[in-house]
Amino acid sequence: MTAPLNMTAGPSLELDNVTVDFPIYSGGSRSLKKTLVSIGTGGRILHGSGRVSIQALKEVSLRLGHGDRLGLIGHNGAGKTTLLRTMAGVYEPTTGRVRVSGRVATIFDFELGLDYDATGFENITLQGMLLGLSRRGIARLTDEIAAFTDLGGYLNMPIRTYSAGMLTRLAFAVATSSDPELLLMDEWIETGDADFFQRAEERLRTLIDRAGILVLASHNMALIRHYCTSAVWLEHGQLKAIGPVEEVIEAAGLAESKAALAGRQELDAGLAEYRERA
Amino acid sequence: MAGSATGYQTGGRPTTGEAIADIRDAIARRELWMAMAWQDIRQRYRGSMLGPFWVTINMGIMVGLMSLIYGRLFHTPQSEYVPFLTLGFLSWLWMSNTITESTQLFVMAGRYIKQTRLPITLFVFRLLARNLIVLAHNFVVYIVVALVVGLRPGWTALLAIPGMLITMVCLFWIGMLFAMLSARFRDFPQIINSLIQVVFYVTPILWQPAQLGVKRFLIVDFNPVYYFLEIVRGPLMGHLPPVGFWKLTSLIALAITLIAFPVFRRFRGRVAYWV
Repeated sequence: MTAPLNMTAGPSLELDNVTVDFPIYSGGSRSLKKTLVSIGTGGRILHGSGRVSIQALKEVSLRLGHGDRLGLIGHNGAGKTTLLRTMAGVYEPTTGRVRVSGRVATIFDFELGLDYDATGFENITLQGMLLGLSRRGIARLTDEIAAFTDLGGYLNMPIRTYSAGMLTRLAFAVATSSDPELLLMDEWIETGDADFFQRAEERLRTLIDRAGILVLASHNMALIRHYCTSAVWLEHGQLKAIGPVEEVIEAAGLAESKAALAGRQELDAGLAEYRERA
Repeated sequence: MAGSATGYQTGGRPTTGEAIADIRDAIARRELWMAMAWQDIRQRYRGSMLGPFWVTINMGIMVGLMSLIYGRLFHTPQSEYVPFLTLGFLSWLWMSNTITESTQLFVMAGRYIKQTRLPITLFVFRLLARNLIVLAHNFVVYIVVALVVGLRPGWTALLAIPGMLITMVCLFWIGMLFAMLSARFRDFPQIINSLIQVVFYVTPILWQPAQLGVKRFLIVDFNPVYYFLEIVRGPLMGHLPPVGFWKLTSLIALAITLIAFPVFRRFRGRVAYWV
C-alpha cells in the first residue's frame, strides 16, 4: 500500500501490515538462548529455507494521530517491546511498512545508557545528546534538570557513588527533558521515594500532555487506565483487540489464561522441533 | 535510556537513499559521536593521573626499547631507524586498532542500537574519532623523536594528510563491514585478530624492504598495508613515496567503498536484529 502520509498538521504513526521475524542462528547456542529469553514465551516458531525464526509481530496494522494515547497490554513475550521498538524505528519490519512523522522520543529502560564512571553532569550531557539535543540546548536545560534531580553537589561525582534512588532521579530527569511529539514508553519506574514519585508523576504528566501521541506498554492496568484513552491487546505478536481501554482490558482479562496456556504448548512443540533439526 | 529520532519510514526494500541518509544523519549528529569518542578515551584512562597521555608514554617506551634491539639487529643508524620505527609503529597501531576495535563495535553498542533509532554509521564515526584521538597522542612521540635525531621533513610532512584521508576512507568502510560481519558471525573477530598479527610481521614496520637484500619481494609488493603505511609515513620522514602509491591506495579505497556500500545498504536495517 502506498497511501500518502496524513497531510494534516501534527505527528502521525502508521503501521501497515507489519511483520517482524527474529532469525535464530543455529550453532551459537548462547545467542539462541538469549534470543529465546528476550522474545519470551509468546512468539511463534517458523520454519523455512533452512533458517529458523520466531515471529514476534504478525501483520500488525495501526494508525495513530494527534491526541491518541494508546496502551499496549499483553503478557510477557506477547510482543509489546518489539512493537514499541518497531514503532521507534529500531527494528525494521520483515514485511510491511512503518511511517512516522514528527519528533519521536523513546523511554524504555532509561538507566541503561548511563556511564557509571562519569559524573552526573557528564551523563546529563551524553544522555541529552542521545535525545537529540545540541550541546547548547543541553546547557540551557542543565539547571532545570539539576534542580529536578535535587542531587546538588553529587552531580560532580561519578554516578557509581549514587544510590539506586539517585540514579533513577538522574536518568528520569534527563529522559523526560526533551519535548517530543511522539512518546514511546515501556513500563514504569518502581524505585524512588514517595516524594520523588509524586514529582516524577507531575513531570511525566506534563511530558505526556505536551506530546501529540503516546504509546505506553505496561503490565500495570491502573497506569494504562490513567494515561491512555485506547488500548491494544497483543497476543503471540498479533493484535487481538483494539478499542477503548476498558473494553480491551476486559477482553484480555477474559482470554488471558487460556491463551497463555495455548501459547506455552505451541512454543514447547516448536522448541522440540527446533532441537531435533539443530 | 531514552533517545529520539525525527520522521522516518521503515520496511520495504532497502534503498540507496536510506543508506545515504544514514551517513548524512550521522554527520549531522557529530556532537554525539565526538562526545562518545572522548568518553571512550576517558573511560579507558579514568583514575590515572596522566589520563590519555599514558598512550604516549607507552608508545615512547615501546619505541625506545625496540629501537635499541632492532636497530642493532638490522645494523641501521639510530638517527634513521628510530623515526622510521616510530612512524611505522604509530601508523600501524592506528590502522590495526581501528580494524580490531571495529569487530566489537556494534556488539558493544547493542544497548544503544536497540533503544533508539540511531544511524549505524554514527558508531563507525565514533570508532574513527576515538582512534584519531589516540593517534594524536602517539604523534607526540614522533615529534620528540624528530627533534632529538634532527629530522626536518619541512612542508613535505603536510602531504601525510591526504594519505591519512585516503586511509580513513578505507578504515570507515572496513570498519563498517567488519562491525556488521562480527555482529552476525560471532567467530569473525577471532579470524580478524589472528590475521592482523600475521600482517604485522610481513609488513615493513620493524624492518625496511631494502634490508631484504632482493630487488622485489612479493610479500611487500602484494601487501596493500605497505602502500598505506608509506603514504602516511613517507612524507613525515621527509621523502615522498612514488606517485603510483597514491594512485594505488586511492583505487583500493574506491574498491573497498564499492564492495562495502552495497552490503551496508542491504543489511543496515538488520544490525538491530543481530546485536
